[in-house]
Amino acid sequence: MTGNSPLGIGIVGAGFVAESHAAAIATDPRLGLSAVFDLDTPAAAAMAARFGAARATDLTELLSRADVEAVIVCTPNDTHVALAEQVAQAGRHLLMEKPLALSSSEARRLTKLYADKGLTLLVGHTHRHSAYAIAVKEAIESGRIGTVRTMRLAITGGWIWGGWGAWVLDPARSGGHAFHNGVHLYDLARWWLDSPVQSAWTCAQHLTAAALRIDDYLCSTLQTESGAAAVCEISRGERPRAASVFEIVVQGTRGTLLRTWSSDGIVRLSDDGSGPLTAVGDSPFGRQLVVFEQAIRASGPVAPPPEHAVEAIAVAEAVEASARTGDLVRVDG
Amino acid sequence: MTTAGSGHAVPVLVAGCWGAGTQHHQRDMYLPALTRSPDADVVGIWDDGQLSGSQVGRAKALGRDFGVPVVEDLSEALDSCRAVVGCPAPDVVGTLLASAAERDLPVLLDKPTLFGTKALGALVREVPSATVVAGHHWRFHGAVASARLAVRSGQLGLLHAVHAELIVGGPDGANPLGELRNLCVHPLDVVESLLGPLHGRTHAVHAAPSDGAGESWTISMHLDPDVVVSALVGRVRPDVSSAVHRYRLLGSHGQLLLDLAGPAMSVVGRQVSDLPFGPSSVDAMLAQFLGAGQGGRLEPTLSTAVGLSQVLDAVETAATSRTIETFGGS
Repeated sequence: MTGNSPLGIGIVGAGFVAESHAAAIATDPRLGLSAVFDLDTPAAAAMAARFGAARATDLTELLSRADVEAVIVCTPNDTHVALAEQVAQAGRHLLMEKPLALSSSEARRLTKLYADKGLTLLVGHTHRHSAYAIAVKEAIESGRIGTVRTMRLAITGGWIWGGWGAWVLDPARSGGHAFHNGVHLYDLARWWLDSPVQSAWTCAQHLTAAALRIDDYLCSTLQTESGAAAVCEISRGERPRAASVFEIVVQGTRGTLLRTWSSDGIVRLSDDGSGPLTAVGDSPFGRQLVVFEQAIRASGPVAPPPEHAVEAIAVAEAVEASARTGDLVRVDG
Repeated sequence: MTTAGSGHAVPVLVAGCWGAGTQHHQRDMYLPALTRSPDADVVGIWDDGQLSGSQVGRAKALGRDFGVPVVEDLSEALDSCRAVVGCPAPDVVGTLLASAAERDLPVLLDKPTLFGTKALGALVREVPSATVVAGHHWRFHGAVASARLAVRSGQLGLLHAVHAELIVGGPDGANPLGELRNLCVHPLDVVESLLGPLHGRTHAVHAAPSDGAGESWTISMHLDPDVVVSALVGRVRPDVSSAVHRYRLLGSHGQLLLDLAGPAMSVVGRQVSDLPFGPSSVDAMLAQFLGAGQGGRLEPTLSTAVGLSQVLDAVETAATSRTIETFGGS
């Protein structure tokens, strides 16, 4: 890799999140999509064709390509650890979609593996790179709302994952809602509150169907080592299913930061549904890839650091344990 | 008691001018609402200089400001009215309720949870015939009343979660009896008005006053049969005047988003300011209270307040002991 040539990237997995990464790569001259691999050959071929990349016939082929310097993994959660190990063994940098692993011990092991090899490991806590998330962090750091004491982060909608065969609905494959989506919220809370999470208490529900084996509604109250609280609510079971609610409340000693249902400045009232729409803006996927590329070129640290991804998984473990037992669960630091 | 719109205003006694700390709800809430209401005729202000918790000075000042006679004899004061709006001191409330009950007079009692669960329980036992409405005015807010109708008529299906924020500032200052009983009671009372008596488990995080701000409470509950509740309640610094008071109701068939800063429009000029319209929550509460003689229901009762006070006890224990507490016989 030279300082002027685009960073060659290979993508493993050709689902909709991979599409977001590929689209972001396509808009940045510092990046280039070299190859795509997926066990679903037609999907990989279609995506490779759309973005002018090669289709690798297997992972070994993708990792052996000279034009693949870094890899983005967008596969089911239970495959992350093995794939991360293979990417590291091939000496490639890794952007791993969240969660890094399905246990904090495995996540710690992967973090150490990449550090020992001098490779960049960035976990796709993409919300951290969103304009709104950065604005919240900057507002808190500026002291505008004083010392933060409690917060709420609610991301709710009705878009249940696929059919009964969807891997996300299998707790052994996805880890459950806390691992699959909750980690975004736990990571933001830890970042904004600038303190590791100490404990979790969770109320869980099966809204869409009683037969679900994972919770599609989770409301967890986290408490950080600094004493602040965060109510993190994530739902895929709301009605109307087209209405997404994305609310943030951060209460400080000097004021309260609010992101409300109309904060994007656009609200739809139509026959197809009513509710807020997302304003067009910078892609958090693009911003995340810039962080990744710059860390690789500078051999420097990434933000968020892998240790925070490990913390998010430890919180997810506590959240799931609390959901099962009803107990207040201490986070395994 | 006569009703709203009947053309006959109800004679009302303003009884007791007590308030914890700087709170003065007779001056700031009740008397302004009563004097603008066509359904009320404030016939007197009572406070008794012989009782230790009395606020005779406050009563006299109010009398001057609102042009209402001050009466120090309770029997005389009660004989002149048909309804009582009370902010009695803790050691006066029993006497007031007993005397009102003897005359079959309803009493709107300001924020009874401040008295504590033990004292409230004693009142219920010792004055069982008293007709008391707990002054939890936010459940009477037009948006909450509308939401209650929507919930009870099944428009949202079955509720599975209710989330609330009540964050205040302003010069009122911290309540010396604690914001758990002063502020937290309000969102829990609204939830009670939507769901009925609260049974379940709770977790809570408490932040003590700091940086010039008052307390902060983060309350989470899992209610029977399966309703998740959370409430962020706190007091920011007194130089912050704006408040946040919202509810989000999630049901099996829909959602409601409530902002109790409304009903209000915005006036956009050199600064943006609110232009409220319609009756306030206090107006609506008084209208229902004064209209109760025509068959209206008097809610929330003192027993409701006792139940809420027990819930607040569980919240306090959960926060101090860092445990999950059960309440309401669950």
